[in-house]
Amino acid sequence: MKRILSFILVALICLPTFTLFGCGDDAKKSSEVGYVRVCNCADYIDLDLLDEFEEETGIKVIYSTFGTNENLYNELVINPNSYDLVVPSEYMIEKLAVEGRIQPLNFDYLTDYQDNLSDYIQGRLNDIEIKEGKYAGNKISDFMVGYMWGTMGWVYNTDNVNIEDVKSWYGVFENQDLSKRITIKDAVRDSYIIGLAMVYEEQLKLANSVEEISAILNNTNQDAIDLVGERLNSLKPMLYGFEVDSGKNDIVLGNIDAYVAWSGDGAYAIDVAAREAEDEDGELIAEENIRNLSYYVPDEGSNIWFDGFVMPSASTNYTNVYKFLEFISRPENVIRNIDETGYTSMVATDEIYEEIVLGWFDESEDLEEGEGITVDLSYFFGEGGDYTVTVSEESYGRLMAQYPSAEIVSRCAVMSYFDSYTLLKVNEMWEKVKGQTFPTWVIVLTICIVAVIAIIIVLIRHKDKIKWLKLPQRKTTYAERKGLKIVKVENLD
Amino acid sequence: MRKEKTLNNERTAGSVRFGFSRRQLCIPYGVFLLCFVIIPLVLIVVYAFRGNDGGFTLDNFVKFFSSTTTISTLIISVLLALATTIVCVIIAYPLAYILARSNLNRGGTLLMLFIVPMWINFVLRAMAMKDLLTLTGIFGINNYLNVIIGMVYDYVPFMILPIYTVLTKMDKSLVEASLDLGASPLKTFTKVTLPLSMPGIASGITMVFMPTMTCYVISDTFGNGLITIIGKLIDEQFTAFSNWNFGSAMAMILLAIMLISMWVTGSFKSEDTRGANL
Repeated sequence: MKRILSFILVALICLPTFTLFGCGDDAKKSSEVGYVRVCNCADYIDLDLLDEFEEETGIKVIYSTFGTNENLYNELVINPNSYDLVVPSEYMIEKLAVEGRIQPLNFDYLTDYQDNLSDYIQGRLNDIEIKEGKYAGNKISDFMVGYMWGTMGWVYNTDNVNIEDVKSWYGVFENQDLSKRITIKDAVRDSYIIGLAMVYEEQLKLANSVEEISAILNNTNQDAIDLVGERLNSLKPMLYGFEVDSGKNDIVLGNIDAYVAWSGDGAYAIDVAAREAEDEDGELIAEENIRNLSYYVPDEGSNIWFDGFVMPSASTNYTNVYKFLEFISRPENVIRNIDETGYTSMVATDEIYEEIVLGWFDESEDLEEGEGITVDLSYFFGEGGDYTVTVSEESYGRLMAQYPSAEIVSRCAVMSYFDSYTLLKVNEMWEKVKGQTFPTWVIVLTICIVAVIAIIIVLIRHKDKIKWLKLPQRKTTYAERKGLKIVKVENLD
Repeated sequence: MRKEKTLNNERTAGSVRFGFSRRQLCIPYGVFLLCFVIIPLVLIVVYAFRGNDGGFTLDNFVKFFSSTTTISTLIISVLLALATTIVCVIIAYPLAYILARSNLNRGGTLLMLFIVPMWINFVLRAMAMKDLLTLTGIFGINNYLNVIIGMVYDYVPFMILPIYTVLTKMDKSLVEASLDLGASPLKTFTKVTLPLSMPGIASGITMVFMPTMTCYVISDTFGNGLITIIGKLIDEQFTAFSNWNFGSAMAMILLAIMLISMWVTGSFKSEDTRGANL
């Protein structure tokens, strides 16, 4: 009986372990049935689509999310076979391809996607060539199925910030009224490119082509790094702070007036601010709560980014991966993802133009003849077609956050990844910008004080063991000092 | 005598009841310690002494101590942690004293109220506190002040609990004796209560000082990213700069500092009051 009981207990203790291993077995078994492991950014997809994909194909989607590109990279280094599809940005795709951690895709299985992908985006992706490693000579477009793309710029409160201020990256910092009302990104790449744009403002204004702008915004010489470090340091007194995701809340709440934003985030902030200004019935509420936000990509140039699905080289789950990629790139699903996330897809079809661009933005019927701004998006949706949209001046910034004009994208450059040597130098610069550096004498003084305190504490602690430290013992007792007489009492009974 | 024997029998029976000796029951814990404490520590040490080429090097440590930025960050972290700890003691001691003595705290209800916030996710608490500070207008006066407020808010329960435990466990007859023998209430406090509650304060200090040196979520939230503490530097080495070796070296240096500070505060501890260490 005891034996049986003990066996059951052991079995119970070991159960979690077995189930853990069991999971792995299940995953392997179901590979005959079908599964696909996808790792995406948080809030970057309409999750209902995953269920629909399962219903349609019977393939189970094992879905997880990651925080930053660098975290995803660490995960892929530690466990190369943890996912079948991941969604990094273009610079990380370049780095992963150089290191051979992802594999080229076969686009024969993705003909619909190939047809629907915007030619302009395809061209920009073809410009990014893999320079080293076993895939040297390939383009990043050979590895990725494009997902979302966008730019980087200022989101600003139109009531407090003049449009002239946001026309350059540094302009905002010259307006003393905005002191402590600005945030920039707490991410070294995003802040570095802004620093470069400020330092080389003149050269950028003279540059005529994307290539020239790209060369300036990819400068990682020691001189450039030092200058950027100095410039970013000089911005600190004007900053409300560095942020990664609190900026959009701060600007809606009115804590800040301008912040550096990725276009999709900017679109989100503008929408939330517009929604906050209305009550449930759509009526405008108290005027002080209304914040009119807009988005502007400074004139000297900015960053353009592309996120896409790539397949880690360890994955061999080809059939299901291509089925998933085909599903996620269908125009009707693309529309749902844009609707859900607020970002802009690289897929460009007439449905998307009608549903998103015209459906969301077109105000030509409300506007008088000659009023408003007409934007031509044919560079993105296809040359030759009529892809224009007319918006009011107030909504122009919101449209630029969703679909930037041809003029904006022509001044936006892709930023390449930092190699390990550059990373070390940039790291040093960034530490100096983010931290407080004391003069050497303060450091020496502090260390001395700490050492002295530590020695004193140690001496006090070990005073019993160190002879020369022993304090002279009090010879007298309390009673003797007070002059009390001690009477020995005997026979109390 | 007879009773003792039965007890003994019961005890032996207890250990064989499940067919395991005590030693065997220890094995899961040993495995756990090996997997989640020893091996990670060994990995940190290995990474810390590794160069980017994979060979043995001391460069990471040289880099740490030769850069004024990292040392300054370390000093700021220590100062912030020190300020937080002092404020925590000042707030927590009287509170714990009142809680331990007061009739209000019958059944520990009042203590419970101070502990309940600890059950809520601390990031959430920090964000709520930040909004509250913004609303009252205190936020934005000084970023260092903000960070200290945030850290005190988050860590003060860790100071209250051990002091409270020590004070409730303290033998009240000692206080009564001191008062009976003519010492003033103040003298009773400084000569009897305070020395006896020292172990609680010491373990409170270790529980507040060490985490506040690395808890960069709070310094980021309350300092708007303008204040960098050593924990943030370590995090960035792993997440942004892919320099695991330097990150591990920093973690190791921090570990050494922790051990030293523990050894220093350990001076207040005596063997029989170890119970205060939660």
